Amino acid sequence: MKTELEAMKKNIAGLAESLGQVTIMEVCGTHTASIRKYAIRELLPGNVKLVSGPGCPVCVTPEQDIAAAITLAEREEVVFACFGDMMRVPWGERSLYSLYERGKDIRIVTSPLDALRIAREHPGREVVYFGIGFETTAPLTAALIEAADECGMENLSVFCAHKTIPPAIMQLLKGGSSIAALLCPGHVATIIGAQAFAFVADELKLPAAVAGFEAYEIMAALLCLLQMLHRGERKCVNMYPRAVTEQGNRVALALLDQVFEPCDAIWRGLGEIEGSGLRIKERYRKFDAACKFKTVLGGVVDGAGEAPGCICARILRGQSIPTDCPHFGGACQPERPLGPCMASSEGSCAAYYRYGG
Amino acid sequence: MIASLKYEFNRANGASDKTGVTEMCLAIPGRIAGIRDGYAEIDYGGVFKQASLRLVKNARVGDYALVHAGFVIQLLDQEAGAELEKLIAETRG
Repeated sequence: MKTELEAMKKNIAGLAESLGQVTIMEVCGTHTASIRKYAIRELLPGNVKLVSGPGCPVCVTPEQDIAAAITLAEREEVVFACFGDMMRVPWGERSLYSLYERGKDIRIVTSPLDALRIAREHPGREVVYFGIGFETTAPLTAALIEAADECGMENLSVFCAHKTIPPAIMQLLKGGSSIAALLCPGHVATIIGAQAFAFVADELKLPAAVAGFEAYEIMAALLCLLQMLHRGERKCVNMYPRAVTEQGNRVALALLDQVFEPCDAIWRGLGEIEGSGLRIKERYRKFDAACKFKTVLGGVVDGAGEAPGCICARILRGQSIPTDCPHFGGACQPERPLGPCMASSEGSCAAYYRYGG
Repeated sequence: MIASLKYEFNRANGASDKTGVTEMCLAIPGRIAGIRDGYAEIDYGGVFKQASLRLVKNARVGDYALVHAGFVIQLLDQEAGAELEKLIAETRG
């Protein structure tokens, strides 16, 4: 008896035969990790290639923001709170981890609400939370700011580097590219809804499928994309119906709108993208670390931090894969990364390293 | 069909993880075992943790929830397994 997996592989192989070289981009770090973990590339025919896009929030955070975070974390009065993935991202010779080793008060949190607790426990210190992530994570930071406002917290602020995915996809693919179809990020879609990716089909004229993170969900979405390419259809299909609705999570979207407003933002590898960032609204400005520490951050210079030969920027544009890099696995490893794609567990380089290049 | 696919993947392709690091944007499903003061007690197969209910409405004990960094970000639609099977079948058609 044929197994379901074999049937799926056979379907994909059959569809791929009718197509030439097909490159599909995934725009989510968790997809990148799942694809490596379940060896999904190895289940696909040779003419179907998967490349990663700018879907790892740590990786797309530009050097300027890493430099600012390090500058804040170095201050005597500051307790700096961030997700663990941020710790090893290098800026020149320094990283948050290197400051931590030198005794600076840096706390790894697993939820933004941990920052509220830390601020309560240390009324004499300034707690700064590093807000990074896409639409999946930004509502959580919004909830932190709302809660801090409700309890009149004076010693907590957010260094906000949140970004939104659709403008980055538009910027990357609008001029035409070798990408034939898009695997859309399931947990971003949980918040913003499947319809937020309709522009991929309508404006970029590419098939799009919102995918979950189990191996069978990714395979099902790939099958759906190949079928659309085979039939010449250009639609956006929600292949993650257990978690994603057309309209998304309205409560989370309302909270995002209450706390943040769109702003232009710089992405590593992609440059400045109009309306792709989230800035704290005037009403909550006292929780904005960029305002609170304006004089401190004014002098932070950008640039001068990227390691020579590092190809993270090309990887984030889908133009290279990690094994193209001369440093991969040698000078650059998760314990001592030269670039953010190796530093973050969601980065392409870390995924290749962990599960084999 | 989906149960069978899950089994096959876990058996054949569950590659070993060299570092054991968890992904930042990972959202994990669990069952709501209790609700109090805007927080849910989430049961991850016997391991219990709290998660804020600030981002969802109408959560009830027994619902399956998608949890990301201390917050329930969506209630899972338990009927949707059949919907995905239908979508896969259509793709094959």
